[in-house]
Amino acid sequence: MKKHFWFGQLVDDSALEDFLERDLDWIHAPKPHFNILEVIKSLDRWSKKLTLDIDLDFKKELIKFCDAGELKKKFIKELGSIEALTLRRVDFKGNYFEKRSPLGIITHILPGNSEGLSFLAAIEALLVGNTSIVKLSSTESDLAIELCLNLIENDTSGCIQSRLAFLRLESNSKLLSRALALSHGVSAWGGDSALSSIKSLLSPQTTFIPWGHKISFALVSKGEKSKEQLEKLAHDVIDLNQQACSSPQSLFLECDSKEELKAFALKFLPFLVQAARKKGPMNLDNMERAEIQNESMIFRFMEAQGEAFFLEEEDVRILGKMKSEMSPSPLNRTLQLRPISKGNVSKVLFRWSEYLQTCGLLCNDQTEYLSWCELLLNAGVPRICLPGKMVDSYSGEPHDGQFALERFSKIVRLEMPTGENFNSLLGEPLVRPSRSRALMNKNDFQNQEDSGLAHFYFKSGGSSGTPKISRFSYQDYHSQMQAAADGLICAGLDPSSDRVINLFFGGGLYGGFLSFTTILEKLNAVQLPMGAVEDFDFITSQIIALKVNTLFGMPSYLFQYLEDQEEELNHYGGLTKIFYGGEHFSSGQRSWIRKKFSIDFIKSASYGSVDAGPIGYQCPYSTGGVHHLNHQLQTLEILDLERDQDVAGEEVGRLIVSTPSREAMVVERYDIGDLGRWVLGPCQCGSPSPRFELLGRTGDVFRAAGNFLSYKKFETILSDQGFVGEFQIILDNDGHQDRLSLVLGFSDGKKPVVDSMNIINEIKELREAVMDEGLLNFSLLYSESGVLDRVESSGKLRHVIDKREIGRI
Amino acid sequence: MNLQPPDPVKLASIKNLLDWEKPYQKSEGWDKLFLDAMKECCAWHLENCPEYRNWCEFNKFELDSVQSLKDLEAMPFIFANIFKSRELKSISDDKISLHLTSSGTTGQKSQMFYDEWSIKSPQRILDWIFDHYGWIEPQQKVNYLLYTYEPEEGSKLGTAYTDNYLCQYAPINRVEYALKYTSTGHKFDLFGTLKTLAEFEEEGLPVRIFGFPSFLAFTLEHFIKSKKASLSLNPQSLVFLGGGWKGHQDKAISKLELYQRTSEILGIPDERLRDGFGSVEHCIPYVECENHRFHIPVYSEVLIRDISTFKVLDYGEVGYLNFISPYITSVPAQNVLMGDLAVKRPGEECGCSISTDTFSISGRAGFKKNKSCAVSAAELLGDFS
Repeated sequence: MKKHFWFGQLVDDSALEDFLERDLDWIHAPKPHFNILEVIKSLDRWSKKLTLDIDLDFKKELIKFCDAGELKKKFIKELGSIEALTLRRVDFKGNYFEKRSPLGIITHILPGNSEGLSFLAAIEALLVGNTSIVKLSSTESDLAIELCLNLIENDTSGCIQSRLAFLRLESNSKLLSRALALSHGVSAWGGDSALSSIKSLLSPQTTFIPWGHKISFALVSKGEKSKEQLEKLAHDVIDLNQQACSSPQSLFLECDSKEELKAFALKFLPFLVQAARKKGPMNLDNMERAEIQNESMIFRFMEAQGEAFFLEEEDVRILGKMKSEMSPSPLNRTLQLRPISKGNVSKVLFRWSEYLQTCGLLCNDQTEYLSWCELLLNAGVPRICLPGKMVDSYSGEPHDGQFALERFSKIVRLEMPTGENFNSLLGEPLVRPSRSRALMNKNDFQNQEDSGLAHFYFKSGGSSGTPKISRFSYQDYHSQMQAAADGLICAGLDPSSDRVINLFFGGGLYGGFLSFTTILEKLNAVQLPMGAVEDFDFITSQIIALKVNTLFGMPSYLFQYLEDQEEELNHYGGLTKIFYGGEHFSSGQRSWIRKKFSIDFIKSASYGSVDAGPIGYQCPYSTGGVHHLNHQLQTLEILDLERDQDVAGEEVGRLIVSTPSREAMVVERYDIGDLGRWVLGPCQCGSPSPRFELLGRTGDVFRAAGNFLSYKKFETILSDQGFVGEFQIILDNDGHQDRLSLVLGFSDGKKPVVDSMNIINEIKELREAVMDEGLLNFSLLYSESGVLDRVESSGKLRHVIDKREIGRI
Repeated sequence: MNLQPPDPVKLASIKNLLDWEKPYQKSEGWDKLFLDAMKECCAWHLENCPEYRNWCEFNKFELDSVQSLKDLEAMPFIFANIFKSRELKSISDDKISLHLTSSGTTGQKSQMFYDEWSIKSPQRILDWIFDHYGWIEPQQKVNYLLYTYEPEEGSKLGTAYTDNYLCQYAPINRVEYALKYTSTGHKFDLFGTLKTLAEFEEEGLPVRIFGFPSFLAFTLEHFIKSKKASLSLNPQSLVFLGGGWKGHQDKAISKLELYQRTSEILGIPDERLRDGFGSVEHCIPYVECENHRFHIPVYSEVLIRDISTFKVLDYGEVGYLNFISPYITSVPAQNVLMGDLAVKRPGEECGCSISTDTFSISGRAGFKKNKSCAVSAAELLGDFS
């Protein structure tokens, strides 16, 4: 009979035996790479669309567990970051990389009849990429297997099928022993004797992950307590009939006498009775009832001896004894009541420390509460909560003092022969969205509704119209800053020796200053958070006093600063690096700086936008506009200029960016307005991330006479000729032909001298269109700077103005 | 022998009752004798055991209210586990002839005290039961295989004591223990046992096998697994088991299956395979008849009590097993509620020659494995004092 679920198929006993004894390929065959974001997405979608006929309470639990937000929260809380499974640099003095890795094969043994729990346990282990073999008891229903089959059918990640197996085995079965022998970790639930017997079957080196039975209690300090608080405590006792490990079995009362203890019991009993009435009668079997009776008989006998008291009303009991001891109760509305004092907390709890779970603490005020907390924490209690909350929980809450995902994983470390150029390794590129998803433009991006997940609001880039705002959750922000930090290292920042001054603009909702502060902090770099202040002298004084060698800022600001402080800085001679962002450094400006300060190192800190975050970075071998993609954060498509189709090879196209992990806004197939092309082939730096070459704003690259031309190219040529002023390109028709007019700006009446033939010759596509094919007219014009065409709100110069009629190529 | 209760005058009815040599047949006026004996016993414990006195006062129990056997139902009983957690004595320490701890597998051990009367009067009953079944054979040498602990000096384990006692009914040719004493504790010697059985078969004398059913079952399982040939022990052989499955409950097979295997593999007829029920808190022996039922000897009354209300139940209903017997003078266990669930049936239903009622055990009361993740008292091993 095919009763086992084996990685996507149902198999019978003899096939299972084969897999566990002889045919072990399933262990060695490579599995689809584990992608946590895709798995989370898949589980979220699947659970919310699930139509299987299952118990409603469990279904609710399943949906909550598999909710994308909850899973991400849990993952990040327990393992530190959503990238925990990616190899990351941990040391800037050497090339050491670390990551969390799954243990491997984990066998789960759960108590019989824990419907659904076995499925959730396997999913939990799956979150770190483990392969789970779950032992179902022979009496358990098919629920877990049905869920698996349904999940595999609907899984969009492709990572799950090869990682789940559910077997119907007896505890003493030979096949179970075999599975245990093949496991790297064994997760076992149960009481002490069950755990001991399972552990005894394991080799000493197999990771044993026990989830033992636990005991919880309530503690009430001396003094009158309010009705509301006692009601809440009663709720904790009755809500799950004490069946949960976090339900209180005992209640400790801070008191000195039997009379006080009894008085409290008499006062509290009615609250329990009331809560029990609300909850409804219990349906106990003979065993459960007998367990209660056994303990009750013992207590009644002790009561006859004057050693204890026994209160019972409507199937609710309080068993009180004047001895400071922890006593488990027979559960099912049977509360053990004992005295305690601050002086004996440790003695009472010591021998129970491995079993302690929750203490529901009821005190008179905050100070008293804190002092009891300290005692309880020191005595080994891992969880303290307010009355009424004992059985609640939140995602990523440690269970029994541990994070499950930590226990299901290990940390691995890798040394690379070189690695100066990258901070993360071996992560498979993120999955790009399907082509069926629509492209987004700036408007689409801005018009999104606020999903409520935003923590940070930053002014979005864009030089036209009213300022727009981009939203980031803290997680978004930190993922992005980490990616940018990775890029900065490749670009050549050396946190172990560079001392940075951050001159980006800050405040006014600008992201620059703050982002780089965070980025530099992630790199443990030394930084002076100066901002783009006006007091240049002050800046210089600090640069010199604090031995700064690296400038961070926007090119126009830096240029102004350097011009102004040329003499002082040259005297200092200590500046060696410049990192810029937000604008381009023109080649003219670069050569000036090189000449005046001998600073050769002028690099883009990061290529990106406020909207989409960091997109690319430059390694030491990236020249011009070539960048590596921040592939751990973004996916990049380069699409044909008109159609939704990938470009061929290294053709120019639109850069389309998606950030799968972004949560405060959707960045999916976002056209950032830049053009570029792929740079194929491996990079000398060794980084595996794909490369692309930036060709300027969509507005900066234009088609004329069938070719692509770029504003930047003109800029470079002009700068080589010595012209570093403003200029713009106007495209129009002069009758029957396209015309490209290069308008050079000048001021103070000084008309520049420029060789137009040189320009034509240097730009291949221009020469072809103008000289060889005669399809384009070229003219050189001059204009007062003030007259040049500008963007109204920002005053920024328009680079390319296309006045041609429709039908242009 | 002239066995006397601690106070032969005050406890004369008890002596009369327990001197009766026919375990399954009531004498004339038996009910009144039983009632008188119970009253004497209660009065004895009321006088000598303060805790029992407190208990009866707490339950507002007046001994004078007991006028008929039916009134015994209202007598306060004591839960067997209570004897585990405290010492209840109705005799002075110098009168204690035996102090036993039970081989509790849930980690708690009973402390039971016996004066000479309380230990020997039940032993006499066992003698009479063995006699009733014709198992006292002073002329017949017997080979004994004991599935019990090889004695070490000073062992207080109750079951070991009993099993040595069982060898007195037929002279010993050889005695072999299956649980050998080693420096690290007792170890089940399977291969030694197999060798012993082979030798016993060879020798041809009747074999008497006493002790724990679990180890007998393991022995038979070995025969099956290794496809060993069955033995033909002397058909006059006898198997008398007791002591429960000793922590191997998860491997327990049904009694019927055990008897079947024993019959097939050892060649002993089914009617000579008997289980015995007894406990440290209540020493009256209950021995299976040839139809494998526990008939209640005339010296005790058995009541089955509802788990929720403790009301006395009818035949056929499952409840707590309550033993009432006036034999015991050392501790107030004359009315004890066991931690077992049981069912009572009318004697006539059995079909054997005994007419007294029978009971059968349905399981332990309240010792199931807890399903939830909360620690329960029942599962904790060891004590935390």
